[in-house]
Amino acid sequence: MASLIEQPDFDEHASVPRQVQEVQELPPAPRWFKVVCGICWVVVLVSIAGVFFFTPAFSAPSEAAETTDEETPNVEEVESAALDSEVAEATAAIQNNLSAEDAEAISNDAYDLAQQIASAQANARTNMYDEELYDEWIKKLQELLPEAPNQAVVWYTPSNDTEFSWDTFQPYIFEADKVSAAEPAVRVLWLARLEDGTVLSWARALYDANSSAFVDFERGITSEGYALIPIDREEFESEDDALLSDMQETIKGLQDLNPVLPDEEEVTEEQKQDAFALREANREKNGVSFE
Amino acid sequence: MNRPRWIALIVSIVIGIFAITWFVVTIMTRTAEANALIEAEQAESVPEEVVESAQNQALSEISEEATGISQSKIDEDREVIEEVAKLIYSWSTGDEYRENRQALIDKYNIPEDSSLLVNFMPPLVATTDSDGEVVDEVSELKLHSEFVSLEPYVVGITDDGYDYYCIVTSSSSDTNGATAEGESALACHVDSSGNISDVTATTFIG
Repeated sequence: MASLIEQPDFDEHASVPRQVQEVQELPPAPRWFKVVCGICWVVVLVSIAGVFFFTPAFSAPSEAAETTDEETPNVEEVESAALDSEVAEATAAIQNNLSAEDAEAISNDAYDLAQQIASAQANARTNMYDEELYDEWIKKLQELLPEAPNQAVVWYTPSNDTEFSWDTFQPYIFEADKVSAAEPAVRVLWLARLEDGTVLSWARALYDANSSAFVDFERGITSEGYALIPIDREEFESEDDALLSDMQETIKGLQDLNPVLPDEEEVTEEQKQDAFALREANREKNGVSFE
Repeated sequence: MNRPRWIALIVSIVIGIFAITWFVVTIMTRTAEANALIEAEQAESVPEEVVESAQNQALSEISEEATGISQSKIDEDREVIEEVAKLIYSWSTGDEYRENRQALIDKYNIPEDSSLLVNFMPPLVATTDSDGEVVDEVSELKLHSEFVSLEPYVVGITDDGYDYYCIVTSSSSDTNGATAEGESALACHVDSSGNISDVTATTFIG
């Protein structure tokens, strides 16, 4: 009976199944197996450590937790920060080189000097026919314009009976590139105006605070101002010749200004009549006579 | 070597390869990011006009504090003056000239009999040529004028605004392609609401 009963496949004296016994009884792993497996797992551990080391969120979890997404720098933010930094540097150069107090002092100094020049201009022009006084005022202009000696001349010479004044205005246009280079400079404008405000001539220059002098002069005469400039009649045989010369000068000036004007050396009869009428009208309007 | 050991060996090798790959990819990614940041810091530079604008803004604030002349008003007024200057100086056909002239009348209320519209920008006279075509001087000579820039100077301060005298730079060309830049003057008043009036312009000679 007992032989008919299937016996379980284990040693009745053993405490574990046979298969387990077989595993437990595996022969020891070969050395190369242990070395390869060991190397693999060392590589795994080193790689994981490396990844953790190179990933900020893992390497400094406390700091990462405090850092919001907005604070995490990315390329766009770094670019923006770099641009902001460049702009900030540029504006700081301005602010470091020019305070509001300095700007006020420079502006006032420029205005005072500009007024002295305007006054000297008026006096030199008034005394053009008194050699001694004229020389005196030209000398004064030279003293006032040490950095621009070629500007120490009478800027605008209309007919004697033209009453105009050289006006100066409070300077306020500081030059950014000069100020950032620690050479504070402010632009000044002079206008030669009739009593009704008609501008006859203008001049502008840069007041350099370092040398306390004007540089970079530009001057011009308006078409209204040009009409009031007398010509030396002694050079011409007749009034018509004088007028013709005047017109040719006018046309030459216009051609210099605007090349689209026809390049004609001869003044046409029609142009002559028109210009003559306009010039006479201007002179009449301003009470100027050359008789 | 039996089967379980082979499996253990293969699993170890696969995991090892995966770990190395992960590590290498991580290093490459971090290096690329770091390089990008360095390049971003070094290579980018602010456009010149942005720096200039920031500098001008800083100077405007200093200048306003020093002189009492409102730079913000000047900046606003300058935009209006430039709009008008562009209408006066920028045209390339007879039609454009006429449109600009009409815009000065309609939009800026400059009287048609003002000195500006009578002397400086007179009505364009159209004539009929020998072929019966209606032509005007601007189109016929292919005259072209373009506003370039202006520098406004405050020459008067009234209760309701500023008086300006502006030195305008413009360029012009003709049918031969000859071009030149020249300066002229534009005077005007801009009130506190930004309305422009008393616009006059004049050429310079010599």
